[in-house]
Amino acid sequence: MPHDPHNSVSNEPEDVTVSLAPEQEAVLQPPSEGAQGEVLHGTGEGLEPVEGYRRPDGFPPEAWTAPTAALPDIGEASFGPPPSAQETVHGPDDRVQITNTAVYPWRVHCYLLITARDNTLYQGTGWLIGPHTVATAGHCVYIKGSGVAGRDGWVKSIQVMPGRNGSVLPYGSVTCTSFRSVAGWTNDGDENFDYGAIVTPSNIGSTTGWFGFGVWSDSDLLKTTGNIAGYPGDKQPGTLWYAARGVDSVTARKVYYDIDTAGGQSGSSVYRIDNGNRYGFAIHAYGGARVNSGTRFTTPVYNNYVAWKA
Amino acid sequence: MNDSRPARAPREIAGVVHDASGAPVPGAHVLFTDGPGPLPDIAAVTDAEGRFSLSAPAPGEYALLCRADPAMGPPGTAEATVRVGAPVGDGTEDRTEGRAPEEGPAAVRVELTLGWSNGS
Repeated sequence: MPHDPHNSVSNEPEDVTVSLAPEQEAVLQPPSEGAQGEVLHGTGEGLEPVEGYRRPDGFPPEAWTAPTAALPDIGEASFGPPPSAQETVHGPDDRVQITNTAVYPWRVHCYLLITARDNTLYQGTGWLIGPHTVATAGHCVYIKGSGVAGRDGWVKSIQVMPGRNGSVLPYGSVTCTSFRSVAGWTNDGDENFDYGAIVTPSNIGSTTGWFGFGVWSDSDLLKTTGNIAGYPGDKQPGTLWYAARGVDSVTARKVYYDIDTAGGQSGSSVYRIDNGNRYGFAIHAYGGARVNSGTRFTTPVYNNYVAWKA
Repeated sequence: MNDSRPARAPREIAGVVHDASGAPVPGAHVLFTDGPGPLPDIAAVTDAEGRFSLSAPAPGEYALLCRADPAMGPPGTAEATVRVGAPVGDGTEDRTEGRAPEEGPAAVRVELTLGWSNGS
């Protein structure tokens, strides 16, 4: 049987892992605004309604690090790149802090405190896609290629904190030990398959709401305003920050954008707002020299998240 | 299949974060702000002894930023630049700018002190 890198894998016994029907038809998964509290509606420009925030017009090409600023080869991240600056905030830093994190959509974004197999601690970001399911990067749930004995593999636990704002946890902290990813990440460490999920023991998503997700064509994505909110480690720990810009380019399995991010935002939703509804179209995972990148929702990715959604 | 790309050879950058008095700082976030190529956007968090660990996927120079969590102790930031050599025999030594390197077969060691920066 040929090796399919999108084969779903879990840290749980096989009999509790949901199998995937390969012929499953891809359709948009709808969002939910949650059972309680305030809801904010997006602007007509595809942005979140953050007072004073305007989508940057972009910055002139001459502000970039030419002439070596070509789109990074996908293999460079996994197999060793040629020298080039790594910078995840590109040009002016137009991230804005979100403080009303107990309202929708902000409460969908989760601070993740990750305990690896060897008890080292890491921080990432996730976003609710269902009552019990948080989407995130594969490298947040399964550490691959660390170079440290005893660290690689499924993480020991993740504390999920929806809508964290500094020391305030409006929805508490949920300790999770059930994770999902795919063979392309857990076996091969291929960044094209760097996506995963956390299954929460409580139905916290029913309270907070969740984002939808979907698959779009190249041409559609290239016209899209990408929104990212997450927990960057270069800001005060546990604070939520938002930015939006256009999509720079797409490949078959990745989306590239110059939306500002920093370490700690792995697993954030890269999302669009259509008719007032939020839909993820990529999972943020890497910071790069000129652009940052995430794993694209293709049909197999979509189908896996549908199977993982609970 | 002919794949000429070199095998991935990650190296560990292991460190500890202290405050100005020398006490370890738990709960601080440590992340890469510069490096030789695209990097996973994950941050390390210091444990009760102020220890952290990050993986450098390729040889080169890495800039680190540390930001303490005011909810867990004194606020502050620290920066460092760490050079990670190839795992075997390219003649490049591991070093931490402004600090004497520690010997070690695998991990590159770095100490960060809040409120002190040697990076820029």
